[in-house]
Amino acid sequence: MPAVLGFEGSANKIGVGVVRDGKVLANPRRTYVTPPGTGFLPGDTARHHRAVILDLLQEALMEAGLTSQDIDCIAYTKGPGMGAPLVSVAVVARTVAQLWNKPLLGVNHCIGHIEMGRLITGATSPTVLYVSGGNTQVIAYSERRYRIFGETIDIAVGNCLDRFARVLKISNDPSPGYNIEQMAKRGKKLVELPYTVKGMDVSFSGILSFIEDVAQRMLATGECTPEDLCFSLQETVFAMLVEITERAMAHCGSHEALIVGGVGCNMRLQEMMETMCQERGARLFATDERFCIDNGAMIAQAGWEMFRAGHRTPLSESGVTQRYRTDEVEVTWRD
Amino acid sequence: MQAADLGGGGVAGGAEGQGGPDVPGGQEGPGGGGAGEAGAAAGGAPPVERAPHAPGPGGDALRGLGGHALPGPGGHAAPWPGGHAAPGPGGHAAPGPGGHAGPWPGTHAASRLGGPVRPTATGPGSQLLQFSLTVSFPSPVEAEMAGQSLAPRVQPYQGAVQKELIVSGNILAIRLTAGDPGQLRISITSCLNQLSLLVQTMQHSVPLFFTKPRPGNRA
Repeated sequence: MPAVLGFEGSANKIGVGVVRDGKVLANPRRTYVTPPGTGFLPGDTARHHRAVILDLLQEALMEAGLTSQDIDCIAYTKGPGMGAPLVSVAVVARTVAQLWNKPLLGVNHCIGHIEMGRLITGATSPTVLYVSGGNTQVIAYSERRYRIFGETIDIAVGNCLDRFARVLKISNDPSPGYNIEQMAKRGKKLVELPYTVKGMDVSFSGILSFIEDVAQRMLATGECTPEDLCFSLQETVFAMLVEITERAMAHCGSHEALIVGGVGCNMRLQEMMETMCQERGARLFATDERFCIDNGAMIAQAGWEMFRAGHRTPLSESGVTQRYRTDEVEVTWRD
Repeated sequence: MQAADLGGGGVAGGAEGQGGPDVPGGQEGPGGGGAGEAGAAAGGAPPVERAPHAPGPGGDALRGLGGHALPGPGGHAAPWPGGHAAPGPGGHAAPGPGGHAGPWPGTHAASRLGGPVRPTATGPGSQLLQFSLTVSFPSPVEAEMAGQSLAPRVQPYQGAVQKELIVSGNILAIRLTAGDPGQLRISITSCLNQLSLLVQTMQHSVPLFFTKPRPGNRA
């Protein structure tokens, strides 16, 4: 019954989780929140993570009721993500692994999301829509790889939402996407925005440029409200995501869809995906904010699977990498 | 130094750095990571390959360093632009507070972490800047652990700052070399931050190591 400790800190969330045999024993997390109108810079984010990571480690062990001797493996986010935060977390993971004399495992962040989604929902072989501030991919498992069927060709959908939130100076607490979602519920008017699906892929930079351009003018003239813009942006980008997910499901003959990543917490996105799945006779799976948003337990879970399959990361190869494709990892723990 | 972590589209201080101009953070592009992170390093220094764990050169063992704390701003740091540049390879390594030369030339019984280091190419008229730091740990075990924790870099590393780590007994020696003072400054800050975090982690995990003097260690 191996117990794995996982460190996650690739963006502005830092989490330490403990998983043992499919059970999440602990999953504390902290978020680095910046003032409205601003985003998070790598150096500041890393500084935040350095300040809290050891407290989180202590908290995780206490919550799990375990000591260092009970842990069988240390997992950490190898990538993708922001360099300075990744490095800070990796230093702690390496040090702890040596001090406790435990094997170390570098985990792909995207695969962490997928494996946690599979664990929590019980989905067997879904088409995965992975949507967050840093990533937007449609993924399906095939022959020992999580294959990317479609993705953004420029910025992630969460990045689009976050940067729009800055234009309107929407609060980043608890997250800009959450606040956009709440404002969108009060939107009444659909503003036509560029809809950009390119085959299996999507593009969000154009819609962001457009809405950044027109927002101030339309708000100043009273043509629409900020709530209308939030509503319109969500409806447009989410419809794009539903389209490419449906296309992948049709391609794979899939009857399951799983949403993972921070944007997956959005109830409107889940609602639109549910409608599409029902029309196809498919089933939708989604998790709540504990596991949708970046967290340590997802790294621990992916690490647990990898550990049992015999993966190990030597210290000399335990660097981090800002660009780490989901399909680079050989998924030896699945048939 | 990597021009990495662009986040919202600008240049930050590189994966090992502290951020750069005031550009919004966040990740962009397929697969995550900074959108413009292409490892483009100002100065065009060739990438340094690292083979795992090559032994250090032969020579005199380290002496007389014992118990160096992290140097303050007046320590080994390379001077800011406008001051005197520290000599590059072939010159004298910056001496420690006790006046002894660092471990670099002719050091034996030391393990070099990260593998062999190639000389950094510089253009005509440019000068290499160096920052050297030695840290003593309670025992060789901790020094080796520290070296192993600090050695791995962001992959693939295409920056222009060379990082050398040597463990000799209970001493960890770090040397950073770059042609660009800005990149070196960022790398120094990053290195010190990582070192500080590493020491805190050791103290947090095994506090007794750092509170009790152990027999046989130098003061």
